[in-house]
Amino acid sequence: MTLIWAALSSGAIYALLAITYNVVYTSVGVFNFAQGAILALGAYISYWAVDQLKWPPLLGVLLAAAVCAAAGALEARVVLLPKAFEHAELLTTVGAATIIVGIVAIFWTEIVRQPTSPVSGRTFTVFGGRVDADQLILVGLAIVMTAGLEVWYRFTLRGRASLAVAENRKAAELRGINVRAKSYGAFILAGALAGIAGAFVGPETYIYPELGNTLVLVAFVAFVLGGSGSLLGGTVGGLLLGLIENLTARYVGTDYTDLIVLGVLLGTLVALPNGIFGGQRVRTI
Amino acid sequence: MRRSTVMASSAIALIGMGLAACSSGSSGSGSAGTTSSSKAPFTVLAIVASSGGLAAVTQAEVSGMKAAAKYVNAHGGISGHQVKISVENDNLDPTTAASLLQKAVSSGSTPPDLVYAGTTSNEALAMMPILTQDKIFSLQVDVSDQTIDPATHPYAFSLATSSEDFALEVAATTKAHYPSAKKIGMIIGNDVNGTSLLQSEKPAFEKEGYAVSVEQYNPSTTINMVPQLEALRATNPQVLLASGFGAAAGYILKARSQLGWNIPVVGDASFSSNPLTSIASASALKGVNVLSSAPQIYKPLSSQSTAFNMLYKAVAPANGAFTVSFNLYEFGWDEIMVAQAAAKQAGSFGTAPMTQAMEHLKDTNNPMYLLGTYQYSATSHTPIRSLSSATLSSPYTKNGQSLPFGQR
Repeated sequence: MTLIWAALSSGAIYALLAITYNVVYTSVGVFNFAQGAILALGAYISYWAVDQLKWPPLLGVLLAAAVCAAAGALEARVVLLPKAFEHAELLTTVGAATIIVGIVAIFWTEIVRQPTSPVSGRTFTVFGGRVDADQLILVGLAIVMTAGLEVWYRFTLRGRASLAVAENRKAAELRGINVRAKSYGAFILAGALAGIAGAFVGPETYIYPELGNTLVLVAFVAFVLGGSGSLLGGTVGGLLLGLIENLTARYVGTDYTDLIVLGVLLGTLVALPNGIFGGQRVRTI
Repeated sequence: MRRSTVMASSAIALIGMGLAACSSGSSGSGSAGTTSSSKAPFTVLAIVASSGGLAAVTQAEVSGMKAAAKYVNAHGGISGHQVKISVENDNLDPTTAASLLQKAVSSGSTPPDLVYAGTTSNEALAMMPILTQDKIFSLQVDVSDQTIDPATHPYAFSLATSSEDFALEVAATTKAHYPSAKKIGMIIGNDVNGTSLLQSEKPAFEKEGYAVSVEQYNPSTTINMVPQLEALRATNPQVLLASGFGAAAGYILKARSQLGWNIPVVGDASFSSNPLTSIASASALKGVNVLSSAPQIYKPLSSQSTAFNMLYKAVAPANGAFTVSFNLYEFGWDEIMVAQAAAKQAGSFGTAPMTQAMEHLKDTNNPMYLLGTYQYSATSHTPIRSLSSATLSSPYTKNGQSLPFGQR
């Protein structure tokens, strides 16, 4: 059971990143490769505030959210400019990721660091398996973030307006929705969520500038597996991939984990192009 | 339609992201010369990972090189030739490393007299065909069998003990400290460096009479080691041999704690080069020891050599807290000192005379060398040394050096 907890914890990290992918994708239709780098930035900001400046952890999380929201806004400023060719925004987000990683390396160097959390070092036995408090928090955070966003999208006017933009930008604009503001809002929200996630991911993974690049591939597969645009799908996909990856490493061999993860990606694209939760998208008029 | 097109484009861009990231590193160069000379300089080109997960390791090695070059230049250079060091950043990417080297040797300018090929075996391996084809002398820390092999790469030398000798030292030292143990568990990366170490260490432990079980991890993608350690625990080893740089070392210790597994840990050279006390708690370090050579064990500065003190003064952080092992600075220092000895003996910077001089180096025990003696032969391009200098030491450090076994 200890293995299952470790797998769910890894899966929660992928899920948190997949959630932020979905926030941008749902509103703008763009896959934002920079989310991993923004998550790592959040981890560093929180580390700086809490471990170096000795601020209270909550303030560290809030600062990480604010800085990463600003990073998202800056990125949106470039990504949302009119492009000369189709899908140029994808390359723009890759460039943004590279720039963010470089900035983090300049400020904090490449040395691996271990952020602490108020619960660091506490281990519990749950269902017969040993689990660190930081790991339980990660799993809980993924669930809470998914539920909160689902409620916001389904039951608030602003959330439903965001979904309307995703569905048909021109129709939404004709209905008086400020599409450009919604797009900016998606990048800012995704940035803030990645910042919050980073503050909790850091104590589990350690932090180094390329942390986001380490996570981006599996999180992308989680995003595809669960169903692009589906928050619940991203979370379920992340947790499933955590289990697949860890159980493969345990019972088959580490050499096969990447192979199987990429196999899941290809299998999903072929058999379930819209992912597990992305199939019900036909509208009745 | 748009959705599927975006997904396909995203998948392609994701693959390209690694390439984009690989090209992000900046390159820089710097001369360590302090006095002018009319003679052409002795040029050293270091193609290393100045960014990426091992940047701190690289920075230490390059700092050691520059400190040594400064010392040599201040004392007349190598037979009047100033030492000039250039650094190119390969961002830990073998393809970039090979491209940078190809550019350096084919740009029409004079090729470097000495290349320091890579922070890791992966980069060194990518550069070796070019170094061999263009007959360029190289001296590095890498000890992979695939790179430091006089039969295939006749101009490549290493500053570090061969992986076979190192493995024998690890096995013998482990045996000395844990004489009743019969089974060893090994956790090691599946990259070129890890696989090369595994090929040497597993037979060495088996030769000592141990049963060996092995689990490998992917250093680029692993974020927890519970699966690997749980698989190892199922084989009931009595000692765990741990290998890994950076976050991987932390993941090993963290997984051991989470599993509540109190097995003694022996960290190899890669493991001991990490700032273990800053990535693991005191409880996680309980029962952990690391392999060190005699020069790596802490001694007060007053007991150290003049060369050690010069290097220490040149590179010590203001707060005295080293983030990587001082050993890494010493490798950089010895790089220049050994090259100087070979060049003086050869009377030329040409690759053939330098290689010949290295294989018959007379100045094997210079007091300016920090990591021991340097003796090579036509069949061994790694230093030929006694196998008795290795020992187990504490994971705690002082002045960047390991404290003796049991101390903290």
